[in-house]
Amino acid sequence: MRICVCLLWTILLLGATGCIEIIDDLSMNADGSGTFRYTVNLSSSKVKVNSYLSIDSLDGKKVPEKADIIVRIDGIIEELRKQEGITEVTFDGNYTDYLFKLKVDFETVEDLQVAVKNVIKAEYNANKIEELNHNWLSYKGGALVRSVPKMTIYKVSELSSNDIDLLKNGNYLSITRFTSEIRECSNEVASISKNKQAVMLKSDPYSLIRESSLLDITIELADTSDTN
Amino acid sequence: MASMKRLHIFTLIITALLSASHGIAQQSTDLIPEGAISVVSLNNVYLLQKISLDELVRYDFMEELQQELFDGSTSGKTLKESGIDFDQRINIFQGWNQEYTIAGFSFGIDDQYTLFETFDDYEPIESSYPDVQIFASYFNRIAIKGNAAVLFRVNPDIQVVRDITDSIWFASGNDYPWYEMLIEESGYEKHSFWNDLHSEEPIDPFDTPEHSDFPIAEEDPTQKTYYELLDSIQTSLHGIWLDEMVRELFGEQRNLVRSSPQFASQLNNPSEGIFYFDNTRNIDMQQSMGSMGYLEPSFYQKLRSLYDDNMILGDLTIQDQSVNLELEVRYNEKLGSIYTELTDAKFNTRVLKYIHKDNNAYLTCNLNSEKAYQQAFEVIVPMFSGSEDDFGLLALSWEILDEFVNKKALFSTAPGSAFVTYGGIQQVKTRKIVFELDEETYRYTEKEEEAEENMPVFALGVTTDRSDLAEKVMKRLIGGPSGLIEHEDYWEVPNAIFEAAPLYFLSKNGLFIVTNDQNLVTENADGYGKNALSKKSAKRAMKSSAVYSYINTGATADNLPKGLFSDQENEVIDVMRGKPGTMEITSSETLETSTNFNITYRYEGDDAQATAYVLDLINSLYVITK
Repeated sequence: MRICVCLLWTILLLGATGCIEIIDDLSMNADGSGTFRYTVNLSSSKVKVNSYLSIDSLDGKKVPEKADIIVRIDGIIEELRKQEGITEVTFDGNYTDYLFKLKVDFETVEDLQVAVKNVIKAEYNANKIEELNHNWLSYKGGALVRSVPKMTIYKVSELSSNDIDLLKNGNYLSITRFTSEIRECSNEVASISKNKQAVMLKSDPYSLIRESSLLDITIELADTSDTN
Repeated sequence: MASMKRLHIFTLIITALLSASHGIAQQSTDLIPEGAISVVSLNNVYLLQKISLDELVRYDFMEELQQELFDGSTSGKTLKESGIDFDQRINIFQGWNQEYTIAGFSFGIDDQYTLFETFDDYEPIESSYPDVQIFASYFNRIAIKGNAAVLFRVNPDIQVVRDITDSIWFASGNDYPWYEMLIEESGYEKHSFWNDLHSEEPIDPFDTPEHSDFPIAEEDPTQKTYYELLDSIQTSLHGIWLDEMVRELFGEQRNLVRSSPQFASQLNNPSEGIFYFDNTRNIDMQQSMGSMGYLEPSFYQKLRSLYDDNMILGDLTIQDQSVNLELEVRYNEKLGSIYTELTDAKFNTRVLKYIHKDNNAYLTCNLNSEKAYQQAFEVIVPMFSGSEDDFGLLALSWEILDEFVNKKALFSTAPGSAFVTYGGIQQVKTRKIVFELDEETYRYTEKEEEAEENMPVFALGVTTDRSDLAEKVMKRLIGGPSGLIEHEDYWEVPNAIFEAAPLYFLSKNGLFIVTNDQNLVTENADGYGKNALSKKSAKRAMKSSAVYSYINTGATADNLPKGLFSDQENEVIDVMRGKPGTMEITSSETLETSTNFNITYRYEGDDAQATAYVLDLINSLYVITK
């Protein structure tokens, strides 16, 4: 009977499906400071996430326990709080619906970028990652240049082909907001909000893996005084 | 004189003929080592010739040999084109002891030149036996005698290798200075934490790319590092045990056919293939059992005696559109007496009402737990009672507990039959969080809405004479931390499955059922009626003694999402995907020393598919017994 229960559990694991939604939201203030919000929504995949977490290993790899993940994330948040130019770091982890929200206030985009790099170095012992020499954010002369760090993509590309389906069904939203109006932006697929103060780029994690420059964008403001 | 000469010539001719016939008589089955614990022996010439080596090496049972077969030299070739003689059996074997594992296959040779075009990495090496040729490639060997060959490899147990290495390393006055260095300088510990979350293997401080930077054993640069020492010992052990296997097979003529009369007898069966698994030796050779034998010799001996003569023998036959595997499970009378009592139960037909005729898979079993308990008590307790150790105390505790527990009441909660069904994938209602964007500002707000996720639907039920006890427990749980809700006829735990989907409990008609199928508890609480199993299917389930199972393999495999399998596993499952077929498992009456299980795989399609089905079965056996 125990074998039957195990079999059933396996069947349950196998049947679960779902997808992932990521929102990366950068709000710039007139003085160059701002707020960065990063939201990962797995609520439509919670059956799948819970099924993963209920097993010891998958595809020959150990599956972390929920407690391990919490410790790991707490470590990252603590490291982020130590960074210069970074304030008001909050993290809201909803482990029932698997909705994770990170909010970080920064003094300059450079501070944000350095902070992210430092956290990566500290947590992953990743001094040798070439991408850390690259800049993903700059804000000068009324123009903001953004891209998605390639190492995120490298990390995702390590996923097995099986996980790729999950990413294909997912959403990646990149939103950049300002306190003044936007004059133009470089990415043709970007859309500007009706109040002309926000730009949104939409993709899916799978397309991003294949073409990391999909979300590269340069946004120019109408009023160049709204810059540092 | 002339007559003497004629006699001499005659003697020479006879000797030559005998020698020749001896060479021809050398069979591939004679080259299965004595240490083989699991063997699959195939003699279906027609089937195996068709399979390509590329397909063959995808199976788990070929994994030990993949080093050679994946090197490209076999690409596009079939077994027929590899110089193998299909008039002889192909025997795939594996074995293990507390020091090493062996794996390989023995086969007949049709054309040695062609054989080595396939196995082109092999080089001849010196043989101690004049009638045996030996070829080597890394840790693989091919030994040829007459027109039979065996390809094998030996893998030393890494713990044995490490124990020897450590012993030499420490005896030479070395310590582990590099370990501290590794943590401090490479940040290995932090790095390993993340790896640890993703790796099934335990962290091995030796197994890092930086090992070439490890300090040498001594100041003398000719001394080996720890890793070099470990490699040397592993290589030496490989050589020793490979030689040992050759000596056993060809020097001492020791092989499985000679050492196991059961295996020798099995070879005479007129089937396409046979399966042999010696569970007694399997248990003996397990490291954990070895440790137990060392720490608790008396306990080990007594426990071990239960597993004397424990063996599984199987015959694989191919009939019209079906592959049949008949397994005979053998055991000794002690264990047999428990099994006999366990299966001495009358089939309760109530379970059949709850199996839908369209279920993708279902299983019924029929066990008498009360009688099995009683027999286990009578067999096991006397083995340990009276002994002075902790196990004697445990036996005494069991005896006392047995006196006080109301066994009648306990076993009447689940007295006999049970069923499990798998109804395929259905969509179940869950909740998800979505973000709604304001087009004016691109601000977003969070909203919860209904969602649907795919969920396999199952039911599990046991017969009970005391449904009142189950109902009491369920009533007690209402409103508790489980969130159990009582409905008119059933109970529900709303987010029981992965915190997302409900689980239902039903106590009705002498059955206690657990399911995630709402339709079953709301619409079919008294069974499926005319939609239940057909009389014919029900009869087959009832006829099978302890266990019966039916699986619609095509439909079940189609429903299994690829996402949760590795690429290699998917290759095996892909064989069944999209191919209509069924599998039926039945069991015979349990006898004192054996029980038969029959697995029948029925497929639709041409006979060419039979090869894939046969290999699927072989692979399943290999994986199960590995």
